[in-house]
Amino acid sequence: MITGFIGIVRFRVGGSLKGVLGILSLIACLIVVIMCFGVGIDRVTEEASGVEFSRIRFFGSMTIDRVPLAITKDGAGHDPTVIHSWLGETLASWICGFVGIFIGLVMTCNYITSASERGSVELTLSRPIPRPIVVLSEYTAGLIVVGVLTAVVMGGSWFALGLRLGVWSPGYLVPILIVVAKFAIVSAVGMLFALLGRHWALAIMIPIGFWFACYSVEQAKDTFLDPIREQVDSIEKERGPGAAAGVPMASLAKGGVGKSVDILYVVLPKPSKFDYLVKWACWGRESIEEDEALKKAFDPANIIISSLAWLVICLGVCCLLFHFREF
Amino acid sequence: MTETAVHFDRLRKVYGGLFGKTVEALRGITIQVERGQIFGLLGPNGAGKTTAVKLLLGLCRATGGSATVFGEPAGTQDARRKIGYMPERPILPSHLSGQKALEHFGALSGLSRAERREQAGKWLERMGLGHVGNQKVGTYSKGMGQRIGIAQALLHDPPLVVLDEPTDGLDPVGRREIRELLFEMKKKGTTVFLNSHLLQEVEECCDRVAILHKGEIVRGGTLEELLAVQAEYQLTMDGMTDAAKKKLKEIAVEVDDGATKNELVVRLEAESHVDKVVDALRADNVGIRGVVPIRRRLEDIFVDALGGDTSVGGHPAGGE
Repeated sequence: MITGFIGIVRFRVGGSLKGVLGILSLIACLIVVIMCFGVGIDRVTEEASGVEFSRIRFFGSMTIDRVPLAITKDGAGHDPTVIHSWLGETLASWICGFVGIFIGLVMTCNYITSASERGSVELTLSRPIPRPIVVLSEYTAGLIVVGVLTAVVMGGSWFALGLRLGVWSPGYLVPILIVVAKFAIVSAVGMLFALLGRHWALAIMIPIGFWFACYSVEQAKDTFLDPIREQVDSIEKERGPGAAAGVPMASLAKGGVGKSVDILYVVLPKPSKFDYLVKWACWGRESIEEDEALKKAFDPANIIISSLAWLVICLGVCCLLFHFREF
Repeated sequence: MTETAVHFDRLRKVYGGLFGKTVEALRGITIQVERGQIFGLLGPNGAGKTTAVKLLLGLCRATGGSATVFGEPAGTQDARRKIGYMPERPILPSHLSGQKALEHFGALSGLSRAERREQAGKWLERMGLGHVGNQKVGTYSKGMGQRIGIAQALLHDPPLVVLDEPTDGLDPVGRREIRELLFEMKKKGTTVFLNSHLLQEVEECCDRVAILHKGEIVRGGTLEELLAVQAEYQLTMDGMTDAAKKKLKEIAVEVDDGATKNELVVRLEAESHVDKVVDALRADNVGIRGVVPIRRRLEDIFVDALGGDTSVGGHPAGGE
């Protein structure tokens, strides 16, 4: 059983990384790493506003402006840890956590559907390997593909920036796990719908839609409903119950819609909170604790439990579906 | 005592149901294959052959009856461990070399790394693919792909090998090699369950045959049993007369005219009646130039069994 599991994982990972998209992705990852070998920092003052910020140069030509000011406290020089953390967060949240996950979905979307294809499914299922193991190995292979690509970007850039800036913070590498965890939920949802709909395209479209829906619920709660509730609570505290009736959308925030969003918020995975985890890993715990809004919305236990629950439910249903399916 | 390798007992499979149309792909078939036999399952398109194989492999579940593989319920892990299967059109991993592809299938069959390497190399050589073992499977011809398909089924040395159209896409030399391989397996005690359209091939290889039509076994038994129906001879004579022909009609079950007046086909009740035919002809001074027994071919049995019904049964599993 274990040999079969490893066999399928190796087969899928090898096939994906040696494929055209895999090679192109690896090349793109290596380009990002190479760029990190040419990182330089400038201190820039914007003429119009007089605001100071840092500029990152890559090999002297390409630049990224408006990076948080990387000046040491005494003002004498640059603080490379700021640039290091900023680059780590940007790479983990955007390059790996967004682009990387999309590429991962494209690379792995056909795993379960091609495993169910006629001429292929017989070759696997006629062997003494339990069907749930087939599902889990296809799933694990997807995680490994994304893990390898993320590790190349994050590990390579960590090494390059370590050489360039002299910063070797291990927290920089933690987002590898966070990105894989993020992909784990997305791909479990994708796999479930690809199995249900028997089409690989569903393994890309549904997870993207699902992630967007989760993000919308989060934003609705964090940036819309919660501030209204706070306003209502503070007014009522000051002036007594019913005094906040004039606050726009108060009934919506406090009523059924608000409660529904609250329930969805607890139940659904929390995409933007994964970015908070990345921030925590790259900048340190203080980065969350210093920001009141972040601190309030950040609940690692809930992130982990709701994500794990989704993962287990989706994978469990996938295993059951595949187990009872007739080919 | 012989051991039963495959046993279908009143096996039924109905597709569809609930609110859709139902199709009865197998209508309670019973098949028994002994260890070491080469068994041929024949049938026209949509007869239910693929469904029978799928039930044997556990790819779908029976609606009624039972199927066992060496006493284990078909589809269980223990049963599958004893099977090597080659589908009709195997989708092989095109990005892997022949050697790596076989090693991959060896891993799925639970072989250790060393066993996988050894067996893959051995079977590549055995199937005449040793020289292209390091080439990607995607570059292989159809025949080479077919050979790899057969090799992956035999890699873990299973006691039961299920082959679906194994010679499809092979040239005459390749077909002959596969036939030799089948005999070699039989000699070793391996049971072969052959699903094929090629009647000549089945006739040359199989010990037992079953003809499946619209989900039912319409004819089955050993090849000898199926082919030895009646004694049939082609007579070539010189100076045939109407009187002699009249006498022949009294002796034979049936007398058919040949291409010329001096050629006849006679069907007799038993081989011993040939003497009577010869005596009758000689008594009328008819010269006998030849008495050739006509051997019935499996194709004739097959067409007879279908009773002229060539309509396709058709069900979701069928792809034949």
